[in-house]
Amino acid sequence: MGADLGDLFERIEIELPELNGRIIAVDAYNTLYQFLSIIRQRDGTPLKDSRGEVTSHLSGILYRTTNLIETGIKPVFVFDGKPSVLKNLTIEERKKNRIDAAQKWEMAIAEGAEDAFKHAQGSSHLKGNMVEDAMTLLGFMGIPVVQAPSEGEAQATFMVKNGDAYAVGSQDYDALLLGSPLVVRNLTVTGKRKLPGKSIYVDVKPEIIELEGGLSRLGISREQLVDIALLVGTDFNPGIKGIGPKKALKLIKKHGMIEGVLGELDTGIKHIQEIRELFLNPDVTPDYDVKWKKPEPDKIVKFLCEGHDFSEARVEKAVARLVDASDKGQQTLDKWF
Amino acid sequence: MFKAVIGAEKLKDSVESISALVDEAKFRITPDGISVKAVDPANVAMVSFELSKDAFDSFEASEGELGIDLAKLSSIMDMADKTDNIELELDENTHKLVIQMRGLSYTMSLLDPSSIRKEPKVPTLDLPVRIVIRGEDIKRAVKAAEKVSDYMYMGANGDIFFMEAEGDTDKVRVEMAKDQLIDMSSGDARSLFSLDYLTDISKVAGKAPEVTIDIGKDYPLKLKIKIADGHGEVSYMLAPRVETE
Repeated sequence: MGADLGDLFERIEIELPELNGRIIAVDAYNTLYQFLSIIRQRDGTPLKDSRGEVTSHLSGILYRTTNLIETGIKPVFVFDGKPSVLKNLTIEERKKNRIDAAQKWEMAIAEGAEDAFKHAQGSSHLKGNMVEDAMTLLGFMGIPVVQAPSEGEAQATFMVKNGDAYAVGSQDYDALLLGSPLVVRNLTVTGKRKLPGKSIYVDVKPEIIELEGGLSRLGISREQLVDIALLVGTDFNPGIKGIGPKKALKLIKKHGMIEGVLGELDTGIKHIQEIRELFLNPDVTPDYDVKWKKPEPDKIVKFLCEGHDFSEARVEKAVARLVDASDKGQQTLDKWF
Repeated sequence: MFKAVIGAEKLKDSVESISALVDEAKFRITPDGISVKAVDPANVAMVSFELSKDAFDSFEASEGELGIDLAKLSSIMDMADKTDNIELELDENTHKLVIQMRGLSYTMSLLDPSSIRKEPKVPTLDLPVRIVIRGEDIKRAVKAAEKVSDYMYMGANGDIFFMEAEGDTDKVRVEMAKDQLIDMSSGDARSLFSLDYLTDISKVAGKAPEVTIDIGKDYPLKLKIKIADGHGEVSYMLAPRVETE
């Protein structure tokens, strides 16, 4: 998802503890999709409770976010609001891909094929109460939740620019287009990870991408970066066939702006101005609150164990880690018993 | 069995003093009165509450336990005027608490006491400094500290009691000499506390004419007030923070 500009920017590998004390505005949808995609059983079946409801995202929030907090990172989850109408096409296409993937997954399982997991991942979908449940759990964990008016990444970027967060946490590069000075990738997927379709494991580390340095190395402005994304394809347009990031960079540097490039190629992109606006002047709100609260252990346990059949022993262990990490200086009364 | 009548304000103050730390609590009933011991979910603060039968206009009870949802009881109390008398009666058959006030009857289901966190043991602490201070002075100091930080020191240098908070740029210090306090046993003490907890506790303590506070060096504090015209007592214990920021 998002424009594929990874090859243009230098991604600096870091260790999680380097982010100690930093507030990260996490693109919540992006992160929940990551959880849905990777937290699965071997045959690709997501985690489910006794009513058959998917709980992979809740597992990710509890365990993986607790890991982050334990290393001293302070995440804020920024949720998407209403998508731009321009995104509808993309949304339709994703829906079709998901349905395709789900069918392929069923077939792959029936045939015992190796790529079942891959197809299962492709069928990931946030639906029903999943977003609401995620927000509820985050609330019980004391982690701030921000509701964006439209795109979560745009709101997260706005918060970084305002100095309320250090970086945007997301797997895709749209936050760079939106002007976030820093983007952190792989936050919640750090660690050993299986390569898709292969039985090889790699060690995934967080990466940090810096916008200004990247732009000056490429010798372009952010406006030109947006034009490059438009050529390659964004969430709002399919892009020009046969043009990847490197070719797009060359063309934009030659012509300065996308209009010249489209003239040379004798083609067009619908809604250019509107899409540019979505990146350069997105819909965001100054009305948000970034405040950490004390985790509520009883509520987390009740919600996950009674509501979604999580193992009480495991949840309580994670909650104890969370409570400990949330307030390092605070002692408990146990010490004086 | 349990059947009692009490003034609305006394009941309201009682509920608030416990709900400052916990959402639900086990009320222990005896023929002599009611008591509650509860610790907050993070195990940082505890409250012990005692209300003698003398605080009630009438009180008849045998030994028992009531599991109470404090937020619910508190919102029911919002419907009472300060001067109302509240009648409480346990319906033994349905195991529900019937609360009556001026013609209004509210039947409140009770929580299973075994589902509520276990009552804590109260540690015995030997704290070197005791001060007795007006409730409003504590409340004011906490309010000022909140403007600059999330934490506040409480301590003593000999005959001087102090409360202090320091933020990134601003600082608040309240100093009171022995003769400005109601009473003080002098000594040296200094501990850091989270305002998350102190704020809630000071809301309750702020109403009391006299608050007794025991403090030490990086030790929990004990804070005690009388309620219901001296027929009851609430004491809090709050664990300190360590100074590594």
